[in-house]
Amino acid sequence: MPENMKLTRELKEKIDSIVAKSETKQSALIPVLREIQNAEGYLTNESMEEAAKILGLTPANVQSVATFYTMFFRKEPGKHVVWLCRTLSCALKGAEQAEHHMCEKLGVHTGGTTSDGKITLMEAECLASCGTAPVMLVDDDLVENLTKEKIDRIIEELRKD
Amino acid sequence: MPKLTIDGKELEVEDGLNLIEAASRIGVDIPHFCYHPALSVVAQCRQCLVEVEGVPKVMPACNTYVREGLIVKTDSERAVEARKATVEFTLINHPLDCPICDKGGECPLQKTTVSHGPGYSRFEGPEEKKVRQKYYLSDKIIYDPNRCIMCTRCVRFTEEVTQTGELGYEGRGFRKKIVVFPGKNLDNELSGNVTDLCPVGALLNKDTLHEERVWYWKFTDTVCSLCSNGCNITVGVDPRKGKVARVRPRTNVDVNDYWICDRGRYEWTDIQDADKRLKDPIIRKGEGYEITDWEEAVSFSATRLLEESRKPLQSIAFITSAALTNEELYLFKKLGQTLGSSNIASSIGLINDKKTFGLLSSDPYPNSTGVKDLGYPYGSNMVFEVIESIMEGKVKSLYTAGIDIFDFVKKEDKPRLSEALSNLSLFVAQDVMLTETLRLAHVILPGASAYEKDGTFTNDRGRVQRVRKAITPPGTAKADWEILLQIGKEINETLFSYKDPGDVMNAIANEHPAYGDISYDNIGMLGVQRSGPA
Ligand code: SF4
Ligand code: SF4
Ligand code: FES
Ligand code: FES
Repeated sequence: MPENMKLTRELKEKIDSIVAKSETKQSALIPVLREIQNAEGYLTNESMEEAAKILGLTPANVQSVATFYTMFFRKEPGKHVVWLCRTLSCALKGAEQAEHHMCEKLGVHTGGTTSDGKITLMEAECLASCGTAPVMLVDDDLVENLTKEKIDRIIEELRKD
Repeated sequence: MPKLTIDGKELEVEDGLNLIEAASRIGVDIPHFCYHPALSVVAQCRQCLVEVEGVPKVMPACNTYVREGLIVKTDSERAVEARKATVEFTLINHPLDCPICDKGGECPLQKTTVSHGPGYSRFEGPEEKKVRQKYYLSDKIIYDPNRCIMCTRCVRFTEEVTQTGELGYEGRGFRKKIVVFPGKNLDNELSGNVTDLCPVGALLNKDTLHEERVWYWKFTDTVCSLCSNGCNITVGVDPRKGKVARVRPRTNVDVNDYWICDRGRYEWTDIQDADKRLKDPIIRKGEGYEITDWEEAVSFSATRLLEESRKPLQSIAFITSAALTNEELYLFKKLGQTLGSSNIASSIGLINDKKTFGLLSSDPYPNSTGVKDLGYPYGSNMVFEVIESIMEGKVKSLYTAGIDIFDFVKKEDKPRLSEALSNLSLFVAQDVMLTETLRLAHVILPGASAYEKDGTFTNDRGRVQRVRKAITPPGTAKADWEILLQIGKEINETLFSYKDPGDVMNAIANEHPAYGDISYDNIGMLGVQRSGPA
């Protein structure tokens, strides 16, 4: 994705229609960011500034929202994305060990993408599956009761893909 | 006016107060981090919890407002336990940094830890704290995410007060940090205020980083002299160094609210640059200059001024600026009048209401209103006229105080002015730093900056405020009023029999009806409005 890309006309139109439907400009922010991410793959500084301009917010404001929600990417994500739950129940059931294990296996820090561009490791807040903690989301699928073996297996599959 | 009870004491306060403000009226200090009177109430630090009778849960005092009959307990076991729990929680991720933290000694978190803290950690074994790099938010302010307790005061300041919105957050939960947008800076004219607002050592000034310890400081309450707004400030001085360490706002809702601008906070330091300051009187002897003592400098100035004034076709000019205090302007004018001068002028800024963030004025002088009030011929034209007469050779002798007259002529006229000044039969010049003007004087009298003397300035809204001496001027330099008084006394003992600036203010009050009610006894900490239009 070229860094300096301005939003395309098509994207601008989509954004305008979101803004038109929103009660306040602020409430249009998340749908607008989603629209940009859908089109460009992730959120660049330029596109966030652009969104800020369109919505009359400050860039810092947009950045606050974009970095708060774990579904937004600030860097180009890998082919697959894994979101590890870091909230209480999972934490109590060993999410931290799972995270360390993942990082070691993938050779990345949380937030990073493997050098082959295959897997991005993210964290998420409670995935609403506390009863089967620890859990993670692999692209669109929830994986429950994580163990080292399960993690290894999943990584193998994702790598092959 | 609702009546309520706080810790068994009944009090009556105005509507709309929250419990933090109400309690402070009876001297009860409820610890708080996120609340600030100038910012929106977010009630998110939970440090201000108190018990309210009839309410099942402890309540945040910042977001609970006074009501008739409310019974509040800030010191009940339940309230104290709740606040203790909050500190313990906050400290889980706060480093044990006080010994190396610039905020130490005046840190609300430190203070609250002393009053409410557990004093030990319940975690067994080595504790893992978040450890992340510090970074700059601007060339003046450094941010330490490890110390930040996410009270959001700084962000609300840029959103609500300056409305510039430079600050935002990155991430969430314990990873959350205060950031500026990539490629941007926290660079509005009020930015330094976030370092005062921050209730921990997370936002610190780069200029004195790790150089000062606040408990050594002595504070002097005074007024900023860098523009006509006259913000109320307090100046922190480490007496061992004898230097100003920090300038900070002093709350005055009629002048500057809780804030000062970055010029007032950071841009006064050249007065502390020893190389730039004049430290002793200097007298011209033949082709060269000699350092001298005050006795010689004063008697030379007085004798020569008198001689000049007695010459048949005398023409003495007196030029000063609105950088001087009212008392000094008064003495300077009186000196000129005593010597029969008809050329007395002062430069003056344009008094208008155009201000950045309601504070920073385009008039760089602190006392333009004073110049006007004290009857200097109004309009900055007068200075140009007198300078023109000097260049035309009509003026034979000159006394300048606190002004570099070269600033008032076009570049191509400078040689003409130089020549005219060299031809004067007497040139007495008084200032804090060596200027182009001073180089041509027969005697140079080293004065004092506004941080080094007592007096008053009248701000652009006609408010008379006290300037107080926080540090001594370098070398043997003296306050300008003192110099003028000494020379005045030599010339006419009875006309210049004032003891101190307060005494001079009494004389001003006698002669100028707008100042009729004003004396050093009633100006107080926050200044008083002189009568008449602003
Ligand atoms: S930097 Fe200071 S003022 Fe800003 S959120 Fe952190 S603790 Fe509060
Ligand atoms: S606004 Fe003017 S008076 Fe106030 S701090 Fe700044 S320079 Fe000083
Ligand atoms: S805490 Fe992980 S799913 Fe709820
Ligand atoms: S001061 Fe009341 S919750 Fe922070």
